[in-house]
Amino acid sequence: MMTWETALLLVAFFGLMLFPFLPGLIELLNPVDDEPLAIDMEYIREARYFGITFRRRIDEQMSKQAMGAGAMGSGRIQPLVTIGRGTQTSGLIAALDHIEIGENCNFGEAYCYGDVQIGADSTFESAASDGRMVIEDNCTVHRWVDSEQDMAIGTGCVLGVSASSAQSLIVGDRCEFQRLWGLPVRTSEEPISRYVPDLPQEREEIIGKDTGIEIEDTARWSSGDLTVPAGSTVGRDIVAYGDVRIGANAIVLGTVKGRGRVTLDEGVIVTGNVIGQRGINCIGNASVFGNMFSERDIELGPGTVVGRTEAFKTIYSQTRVLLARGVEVYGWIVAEEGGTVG
Amino acid sequence: MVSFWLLWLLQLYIYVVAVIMLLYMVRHMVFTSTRLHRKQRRFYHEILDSELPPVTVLVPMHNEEAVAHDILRALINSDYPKDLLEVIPVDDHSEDRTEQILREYADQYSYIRPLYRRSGPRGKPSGLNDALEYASHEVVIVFDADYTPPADMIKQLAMAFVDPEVGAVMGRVVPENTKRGLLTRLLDLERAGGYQVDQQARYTRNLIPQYGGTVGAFRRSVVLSMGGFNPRILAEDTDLTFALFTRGWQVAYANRSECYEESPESWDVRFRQVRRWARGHTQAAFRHFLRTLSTRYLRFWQKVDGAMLLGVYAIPTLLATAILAHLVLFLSGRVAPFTLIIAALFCMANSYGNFAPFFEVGSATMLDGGRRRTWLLPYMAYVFIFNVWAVVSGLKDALLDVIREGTPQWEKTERYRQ
Repeated sequence: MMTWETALLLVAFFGLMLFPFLPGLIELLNPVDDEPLAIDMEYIREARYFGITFRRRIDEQMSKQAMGAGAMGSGRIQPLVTIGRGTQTSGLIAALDHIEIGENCNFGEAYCYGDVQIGADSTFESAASDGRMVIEDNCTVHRWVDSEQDMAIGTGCVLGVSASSAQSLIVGDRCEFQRLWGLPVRTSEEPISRYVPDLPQEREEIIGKDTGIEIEDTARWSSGDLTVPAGSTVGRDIVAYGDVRIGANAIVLGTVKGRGRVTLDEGVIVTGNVIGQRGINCIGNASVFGNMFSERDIELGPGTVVGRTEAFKTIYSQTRVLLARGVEVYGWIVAEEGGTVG
Repeated sequence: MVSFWLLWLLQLYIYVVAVIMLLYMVRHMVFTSTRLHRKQRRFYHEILDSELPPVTVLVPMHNEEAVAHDILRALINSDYPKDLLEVIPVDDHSEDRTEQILREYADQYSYIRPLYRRSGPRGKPSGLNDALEYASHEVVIVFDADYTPPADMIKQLAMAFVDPEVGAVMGRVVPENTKRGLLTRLLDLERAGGYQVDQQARYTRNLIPQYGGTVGAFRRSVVLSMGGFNPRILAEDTDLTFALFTRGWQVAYANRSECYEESPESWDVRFRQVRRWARGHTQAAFRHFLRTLSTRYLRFWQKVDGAMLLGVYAIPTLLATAILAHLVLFLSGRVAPFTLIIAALFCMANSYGNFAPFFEVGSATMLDGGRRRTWLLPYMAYVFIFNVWAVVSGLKDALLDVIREGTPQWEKTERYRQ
């Protein structure tokens, strides 16, 4: 015969053993969190995501035709809107043809089917234009700016999470950014005239002829650091387990990857991508036809050109991107921890 | 005298198993800590590039009438430029309406070019080998037939090959049919731990992320240069992973390239699946273990991780035999010194779980924004016991494969979609 102490012990033992299963039992009987992890099946990566979704939202509110005749939100839509110096407003500023915002203004959002000009020292959330956009010196953007035509940004601006233009995007000195998109993005007013010599077409044939270097192993790997002498032409991809340095005026007909830091000296041409896990440094006047990708900082010296008119590319750094004056990039620049110009 | 040495050996064996399990637990703790506290390595899908490579998508199929429409529609819905895309559904000796469905799609879409296999051995490795001969492009993406890739999945996976070191890339598998019962909910947890934490941590630490073969891509020329997939190895994915790493190539992991799959909904189907995985994985371990330790292309910690990854399916067998050893010691009156060891073994087994320990699964669920699903974690203890049985059966199969030297029969996972 079992004593009551033994019975109590057994009940306590099995009770404690089963206790961890009780919450799960509740969830099984009354499921609250049983949906699969949500995947957006239609999601497509888009550099101008903010501007495009903002316009879609506006279009949903009112078609362009209706806007011309009626109102948006609480105010009438005018062809021309001028905001005086020092004005502070939180609503949406919208116009059909032109928006001109004076200096030292503080506003929420602005949208124009034509051009937008934002005065110096202004602070705002976001702005989109279907025409051109000019942002004068020392403005602060909290979220994003986007234009369908050329955009010019003055010096000392803080550009929020994204500044994008379907055409050219000119960014002034001392600007800070996270994402820039333009065709091209320029850090100087004038386009850079890039000299690209006639590049050999047959990559593999060049190996061992013009380079004067030996890359270890038949499979193109180098186990340590690798330096390509100045003026060489390398006809294949370069992969090194350490740092890579491409000497001045060398040509690489392929991709350069270093698990360490990649340095491109003056006048280097790379027809593929440049991947430097521990950072990339372009001293200046380099031409990279492909993408640049790094888990550390990417520094582009004066005269560096990335991408081509006919092909947009991406510069991606998991930390910072530092752009000198006179850099031209066709495509997207992403700096997860922020980037600066100049 | 003999019994003394036998008991001594059993004691030693239990200690060795305890140390091995402890090492695995530490490994998973490092992974979890890496995922939770360290800056994560980003994958190349951050890149937007207007010059995309032409790609071939392979979809191995055997009696897939229940799911064929879904994956073909998903591929048609892809944003990848269709002039750069070739889709090859590999109809591998199907006896249902799969062929008819494929012909309907091929008539409508010129980039869908089915391959009908009616001769030769059946099975995924053989099907892939034939398809590689038939494929036109260098970048080859593989989806299992029950997968539903989102619109930009092909672009994301193809972008991995901007890196000349990358030989293969793997996306993240997400079960879609989680609501179907306890098993599917537990498999959802297991998948979350395995991908969100385990694979991502291995990628972040530059260790051995695994090509999983169900939502991934590889370079065709590299696989062909290695002689294609070995039809005698059921885990062609593990085989490719180690073949690549030991030849200097890398495998990338794309955690944000998420793709729905259909999980097994019944325990017997799951048993056969795990048994097949264990068999194939063990075959790959026999093939690659020594090469992984001796290759000059891997660093020390990569070799350690690779060896532990190859040995992962041996753990349930080691645990089961350690328990048997303990029973023998118990019956011989030698249990006292080992009670703590066995307790530790069970604790580690419960921590270790089956393919992802509980703390790893819990962390993954938290990262995914899960709430009450973590309440089901204690039920994974049952899955672990279940898997011990299935894995031991798979190990036995693998050993018999070595003895018989035959080509194993490929067993297809049942589909449930209506």
